[in-house]
Amino acid sequence: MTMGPKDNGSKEQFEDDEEVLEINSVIDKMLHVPIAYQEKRHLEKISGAKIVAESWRLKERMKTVSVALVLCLNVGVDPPDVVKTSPCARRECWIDPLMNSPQKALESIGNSIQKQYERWQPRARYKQSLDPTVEDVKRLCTSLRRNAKEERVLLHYNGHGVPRPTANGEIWVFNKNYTQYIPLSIYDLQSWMGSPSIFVYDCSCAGLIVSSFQSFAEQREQDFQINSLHSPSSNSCDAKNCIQLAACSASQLLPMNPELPADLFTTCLTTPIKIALQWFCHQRQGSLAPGVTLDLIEKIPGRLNDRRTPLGELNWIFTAITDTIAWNILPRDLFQKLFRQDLLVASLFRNFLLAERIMRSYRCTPVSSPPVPATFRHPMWAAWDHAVDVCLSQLPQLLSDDSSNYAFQNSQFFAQHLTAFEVWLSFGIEQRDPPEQLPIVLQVLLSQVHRLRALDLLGRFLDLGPWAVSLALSVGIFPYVLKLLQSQAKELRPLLVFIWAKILAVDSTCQSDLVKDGGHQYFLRALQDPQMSASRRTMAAFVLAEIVNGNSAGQEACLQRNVVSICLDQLDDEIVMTTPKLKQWVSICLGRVWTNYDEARWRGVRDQAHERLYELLDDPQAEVRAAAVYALGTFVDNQPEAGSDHAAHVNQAVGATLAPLQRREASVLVRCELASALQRLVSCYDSSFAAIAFRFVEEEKNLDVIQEVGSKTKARTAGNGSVHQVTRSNSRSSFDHANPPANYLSMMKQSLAGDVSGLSSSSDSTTQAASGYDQDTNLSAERLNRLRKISFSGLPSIVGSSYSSVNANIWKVLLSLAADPHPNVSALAKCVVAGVMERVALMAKEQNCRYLSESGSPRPRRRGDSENYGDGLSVESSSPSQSNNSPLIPIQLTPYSRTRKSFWKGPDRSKEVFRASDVPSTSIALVQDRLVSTQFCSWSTTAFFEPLCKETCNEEKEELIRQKRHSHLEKLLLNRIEIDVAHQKLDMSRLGDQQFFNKNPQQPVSLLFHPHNNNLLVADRTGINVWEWECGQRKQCLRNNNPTNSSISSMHFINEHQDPLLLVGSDDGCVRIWKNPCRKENQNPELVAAWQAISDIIPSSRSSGLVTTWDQSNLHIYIGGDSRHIQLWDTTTERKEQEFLTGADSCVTTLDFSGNLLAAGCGDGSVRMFDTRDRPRHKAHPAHNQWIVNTTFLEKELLLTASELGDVKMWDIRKMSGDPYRTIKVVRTGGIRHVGVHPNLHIIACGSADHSVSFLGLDGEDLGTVKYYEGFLGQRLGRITCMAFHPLLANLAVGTADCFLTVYSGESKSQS
Amino acid sequence: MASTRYRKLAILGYRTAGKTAITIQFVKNEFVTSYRPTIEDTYYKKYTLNEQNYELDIVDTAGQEDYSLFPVSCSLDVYGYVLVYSVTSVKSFEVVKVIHDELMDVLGRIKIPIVLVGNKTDLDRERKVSTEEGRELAQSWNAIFLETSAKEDSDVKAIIDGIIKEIEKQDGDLPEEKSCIVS
Repeated sequence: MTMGPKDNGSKEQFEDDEEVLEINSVIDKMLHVPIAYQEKRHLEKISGAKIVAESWRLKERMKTVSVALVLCLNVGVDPPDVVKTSPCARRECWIDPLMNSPQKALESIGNSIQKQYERWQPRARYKQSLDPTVEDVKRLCTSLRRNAKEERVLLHYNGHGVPRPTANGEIWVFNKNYTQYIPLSIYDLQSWMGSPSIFVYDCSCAGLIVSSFQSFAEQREQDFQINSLHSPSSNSCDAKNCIQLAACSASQLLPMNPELPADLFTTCLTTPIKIALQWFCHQRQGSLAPGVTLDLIEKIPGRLNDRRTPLGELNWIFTAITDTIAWNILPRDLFQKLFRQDLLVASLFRNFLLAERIMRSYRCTPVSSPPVPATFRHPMWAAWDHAVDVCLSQLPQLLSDDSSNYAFQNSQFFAQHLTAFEVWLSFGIEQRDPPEQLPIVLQVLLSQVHRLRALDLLGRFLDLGPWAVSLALSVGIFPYVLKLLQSQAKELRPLLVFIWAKILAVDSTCQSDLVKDGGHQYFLRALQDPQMSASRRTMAAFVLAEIVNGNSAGQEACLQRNVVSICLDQLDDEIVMTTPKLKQWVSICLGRVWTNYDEARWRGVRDQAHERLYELLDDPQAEVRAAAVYALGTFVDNQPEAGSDHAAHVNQAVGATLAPLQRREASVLVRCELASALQRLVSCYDSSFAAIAFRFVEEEKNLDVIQEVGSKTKARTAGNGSVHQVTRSNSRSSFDHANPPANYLSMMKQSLAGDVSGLSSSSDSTTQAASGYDQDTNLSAERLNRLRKISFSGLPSIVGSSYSSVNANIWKVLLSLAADPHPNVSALAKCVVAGVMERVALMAKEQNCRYLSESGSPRPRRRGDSENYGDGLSVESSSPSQSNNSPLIPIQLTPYSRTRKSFWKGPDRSKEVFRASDVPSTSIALVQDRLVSTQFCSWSTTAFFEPLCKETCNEEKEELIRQKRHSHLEKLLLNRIEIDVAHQKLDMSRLGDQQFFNKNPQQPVSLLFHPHNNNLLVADRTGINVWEWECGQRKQCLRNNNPTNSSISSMHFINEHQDPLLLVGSDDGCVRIWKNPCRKENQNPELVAAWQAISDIIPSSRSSGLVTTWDQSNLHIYIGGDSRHIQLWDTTTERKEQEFLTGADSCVTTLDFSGNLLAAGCGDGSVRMFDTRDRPRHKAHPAHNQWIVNTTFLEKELLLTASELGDVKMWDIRKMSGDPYRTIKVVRTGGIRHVGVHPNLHIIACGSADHSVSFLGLDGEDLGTVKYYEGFLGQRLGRITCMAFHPLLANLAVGTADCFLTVYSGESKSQS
Repeated sequence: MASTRYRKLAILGYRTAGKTAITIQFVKNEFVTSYRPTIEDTYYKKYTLNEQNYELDIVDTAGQEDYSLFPVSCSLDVYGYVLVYSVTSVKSFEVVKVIHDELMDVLGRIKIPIVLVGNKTDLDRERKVSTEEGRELAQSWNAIFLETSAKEDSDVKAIIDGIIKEIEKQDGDLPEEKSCIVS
């Protein structure tokens, strides 16, 4: 088959422009040909994303609970080391100390500073210490630390009335009589204050304290390390947890400008707006708006904490600006520590940025520890100045007498910065610095005016990817958006749902915060809101699914709000049903709600949840089906003895519904979920499954006995010594064997009773039985196949369980899944099967023992081998010759204990450990340590990582892809036209020229030319070799991984027009789809999909293998073969869409498809025509009398058929019932075995039973025959095993039984 | 026995010159090793010199800088001044001159009982101001000059003795000595 219409080969010369037009229209048509396997599930690895550890969440949120205000003013007496100007800055806390008596002044200053601090942290415990002695400070600090425990303590030190700090690391306080300045060592201060602490030093040379602090801390660290060797004592002061703010550097004096307060630094830190405004006026005395005076700014109306008033607005802008500067300049972790950890610290640091700006204008450099980069020149300050200017310029009118007429103009600051943010967003997602407006967006969330816009922009930002989410979280949006969930505003709902979906996709740990705040209710409302778009409701469902994911608090909270019924109601909703993603997430949400949560499960049972979910099992979207299987899997109760009959009934119903899925699912996703879901049932009824598996093995052994009647002795020796060699291939298996269900014993006894009697005929058979079980955990493909073939209908019904037939069915499905062609599926299923099989192996051993002990012939135990390890642990070791006969197990029918892990496996000795105390316990711990699980859900989550909003750049990308495809197609088409033109001069007599000849490593069974390059794919039984036939090199081998006893039987390219995928069918009924089969650009071949297409293979004397044909326009695969059915698999939905009877008694040997017609050639010589629009109806035409070797649609409604007798017939498909349009007899002894038809050139090639290849024209003209290999020996051709034409070139590849590959080419040499 | 006389003395000088050390050595006969800048302190001691009992109030002042204002507490009711400098610090010697000038300015008297003290003679190796320089300065002021060590308690008492004598002399109450020196 080739791409596009077959009849566009231009036989005439077109005018140039006409030709171009023609080409373009063909390309356009081809661009619309769909491409298979382009979904995310095919392109991505099904696994959750690795999420970076959350750094945004503060390890410890802290509070400053105690504040020590230490003021050393000694009003009236200046310290000896300062020479003050006159006049000099005097005001402390905006109070002139000389206005009152010194004592009164001191007290009022003390009260003021407390009030100023209280504005930032009203709930702390404040203690003033006015002109203290060393003792006072010590008492104060130690008592505050004692009360604060692990919380933060602030020490504010005002040293305006004492000498400067010393280089030795001392600050000054007073003696009792105020006759002396007494030094206070920072070292002592550290000890008293402990950590975490924050220190504010407002004094000259304050930087000196910071450096002393540091060196003392280092010294302390060293002492601590030395001391800790002798006596482990806790380090009371950890400098890492201490923050310091100092007014100036080590050598600077505080400014004495009389316009300024003496405690400029303190005013900046505690009354920033006031000082900022004053400073603003000082700085621009000449350029203030007319009428604005220093007095006026004291009268700005409003309150600081009311954002709607002028003063409040200024304060709000100030917060936003300082936050923004900090966020943009500081390293992230430092920002988190200083600006998000502690409310008071954050405020002080914000104000510290202002202090830096103001103090620097007076040649003072405030110092902080940890140090903060310089921020005083940040451009955002200009925005602050502007905002202040705008506000001040309105003051004269605002404060004038007729102020009632004047309406205050609010600042445009926030609106403008949102616009800036919007502009940033419009530039897409190239690698850029994060938007500097992010902290402003955060502030805007506080105001109702801009909230909607801010949320919208925030959502668009988060949409850019997980990095954006992390950034937003690190800036601190979390508490804001959490709080907003309490809002009733409907217009916020879609935005908040979007934002939360984005957050939870990145950080699922937020689930607990949501539950704590009752956020789940918001999303339940959103899910039900019919006004929300389907995509937003999907997000709501996703958020709910994340809330309940592995979070019992969330499950409970959501259940209380009827999450089960709400979700189920969604499944009746029309909008939901047309939105696959929504269905998927509603299902996942349901599945997670009732995972290990019986109450929710019962709620589901009451609402018939399982029946509703059954409908989704037929959904066209594989993800929806997988989600439904997941939900049904977790729905299965795993406490059968605790539950009622009703529970068991429901479980069995679910199992019975899930089991048949295996036969119609092509999707790996769904089959993985299926294995995982069935495993729940297995762990639920493990005893029943063990019994069933036991019967299967029995049955298998019986088969073996029949087959291996002659080799009994061999089997016996093989069995010796290997009884206990339980293969531990699956270390993950963690069945709770120690705790089998209560009814286990009785069941096993009953089921074994029959076996024992059947086996007691001879001891030989017993040994053999044991040897059979040895292989139990050896799950080779052959063995799985053998087990699967056992018909359980033939088994005697298993006693003790009324549901055994369902379970037997499930067991068969699991065996099939274990033999699945896709490694992911089979690995999962093998784990499940192996768990059961291990148990079966033990049962077999016990059975042996019992039989032997009953028959009274236990062999004497060798004392020396038996050791007692106390506490009931008896260890038996025995020589290999004894091992399988010794009755080792003291307890009958004891299932595995976990100690079996200590089985020692070796060639010469085997050792067993049994714990006698491990009797079956009735208290069953839930089997929560599931054997296997899939990553489907977490993979589904990754969909929310990607941008969900349509972006312009996406369109650009799509356009780019389209253009690429266009040029690719153009190239192909031009190439093809060129070939067609060349073919007009093709010399038909030279078709048999041997171009390439080489030996394939194995006998080729199928051949396929790559349509676009010179690769020839040569399949042998289990692998595919790629030959570059023109240069004669074998490139590499692709292992198809079908079982060794099966063979590849067909190959096709799909998506021939774009990066072809290789479809490989093998005669065990499996189909595999490979990506990069030819390793283009050194990419390894990848298995895109694989499934068991035919499971009802009818064994016959002559097998036709698996026959496939591909319909590119509908992306369908038709599959026939050794089966009475032809199956239609849709690669879009990845499921079996239809299965229809061929009506023939023999196998299907060939299939071809064209337009709406499917032609199937059968082994009995009939050709059956199906109209794909009306598939079940078909017409059978007894075209031949023999095995049909080819059916090919030719152009102009002709169908070519050929049979082994050597008759090639061409039919007019409209008159199939009549005589053939033409018949060509190829007379060869033994008839023909293979016929190749060139799709464009009118040539057929026949590979005959007499080892020759003949070329014929469609009109029957003989174009030559090849019988010998070229070369000087001129050997005779081997038996022809396969042949194939190149889709475009006149090349024929022939594979022969002697492993030779030959390519014959009629192309003129210059072409190649 | 004559009645007890009350005399208030002020000790001035650059910081760390040893004002407090001298005071405490005299009052308590001990040497303080730690440095604690004095804000201002007044020490009281009963003292007998030449069979005359005195009640002494010694005002230990905060150290003075070049440009610091003259302590108000020292301008009133002070009988005599002890100006201290450290022989290891030229700066303190310079400041002493400034203080003297200011003293003259504030009091407006020509004759003021003053003793100039060069302290810290125990640190002879670090000496920066020679005895001669001190003596010359004292002569120019017409003041008594002494070099002492508060640490080693050498000549500390002589300071107080000197200033009391100087006060009495200027008051004219000094009991006649063997030879009358008219200066």
